[in-house]
Amino acid sequence: MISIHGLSKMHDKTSVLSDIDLTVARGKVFGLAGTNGSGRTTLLEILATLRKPTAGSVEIDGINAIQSPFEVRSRIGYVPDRHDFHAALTVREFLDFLRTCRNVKSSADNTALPADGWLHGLKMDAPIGSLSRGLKQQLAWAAALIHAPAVLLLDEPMNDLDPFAAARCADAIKEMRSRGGTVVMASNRTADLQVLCDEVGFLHKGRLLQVMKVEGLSMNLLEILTSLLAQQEGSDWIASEAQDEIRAGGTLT
Amino acid sequence: MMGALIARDMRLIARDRRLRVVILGYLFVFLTASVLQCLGMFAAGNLSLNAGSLFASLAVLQAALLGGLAPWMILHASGLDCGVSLMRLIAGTSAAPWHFLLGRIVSLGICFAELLSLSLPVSLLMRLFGAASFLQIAWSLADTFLFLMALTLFVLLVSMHGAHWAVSWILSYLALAVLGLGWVAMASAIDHASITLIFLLLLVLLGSLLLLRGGRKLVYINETARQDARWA
Repeated sequence: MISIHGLSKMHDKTSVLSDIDLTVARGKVFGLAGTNGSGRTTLLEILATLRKPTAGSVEIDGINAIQSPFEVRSRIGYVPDRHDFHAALTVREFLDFLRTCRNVKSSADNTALPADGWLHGLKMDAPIGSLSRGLKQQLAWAAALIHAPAVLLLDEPMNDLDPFAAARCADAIKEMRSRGGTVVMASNRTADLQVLCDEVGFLHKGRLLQVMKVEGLSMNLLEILTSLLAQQEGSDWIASEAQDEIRAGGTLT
Repeated sequence: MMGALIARDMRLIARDRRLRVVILGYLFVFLTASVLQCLGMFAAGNLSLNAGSLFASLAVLQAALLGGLAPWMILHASGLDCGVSLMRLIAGTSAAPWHFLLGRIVSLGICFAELLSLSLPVSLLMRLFGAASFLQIAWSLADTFLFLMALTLFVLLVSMHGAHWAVSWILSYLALAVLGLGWVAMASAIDHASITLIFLLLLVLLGSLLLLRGGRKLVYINETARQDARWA
């Protein structure tokens, strides 16, 4: 369970996040939608205990993430939006390193990481530097799931993945939900959020505009986001041609 | 966990092309100088007398070469983890900052010990000619190793301060000069055991400062852009 109260983050005198209140229950998948620069990555990095908020409180599974970041880190898996793996290490060395640090004896101990699933397509003895972006993204998923975390934080998790890998990732999210895990997922692909999430929050300029349940929505998320942003910025915030394209199923970038 | 961290650091150091070139360069210079000086000793005759000065000059040459390379090696090895990615890695392993620091110190220590051990064949040759006792060889290696480790801790401490990389370089080489001059001054005034004790005390002091500093600095991503380029 994730509980956020009055969360604010300033960076260089600029407000990145402002007064966020949010609760994500166990067994729920929460999506974060918004335009670029809306603060989604910063929010995920605060949840991953990588950044310290300026104000407010964050609790993950009942643990204060600001006071006990290391305790929280043992419970979370995090797929960042960019991964700077050590190019010189092989996939096997990197995963063995993570297993040792996470006290995971082998992949067989972790049902969330079946070797024939997540590591499919990854050459275990290939240097990470030689992997394609999609394979690096799969490796990031494998690294996040290696210790069967209770909370999964995903920042653009489907980027660069082929359809089969994306399907495995979607299965992993559903598996997390079914075993009572909590997932927070930020994505520009509103279609993914609509399919995978139970609730979606709309962030804009660091403020959480609205949280809504996905089930039973009559509009698609992109249309909702478009109308929310139009309310915030005025109706001419986005060119009408772009709105038409969005309604036709394009991606908001 | 420490074993995994040390293995990771050692792999990164061993597989870095620039570090390999620099280490090979050091070996080439040191071995060439050793061979040339040995040839000079044989040509001059009076082996036991010349071997004594040869051992001292090679020990100084080795300390100077490694001392000169050490700040570059340490800063370069630290640069293999840039700030944000190190923090993501730390978060991804739930390891405490001091685990990473200790892993880095031990891996650099192993690296320096290996480089020092490469001079053993030459030192043992000196021993054969009666120019140095085993004890002298051991003291020489121990003092050089402690000197390099003190330098390592200081450079890591400086790199963690988050200053511009050029400032880290300047401060590191200043520290090298101060430590080196201090060592020379001590060598002419006090015995080996006292020098070793002083280096050990310095290691304890710098190590404590580093772990205290690292415990605070390596918890969150450092949010100033200039610090994202370095590991702390």
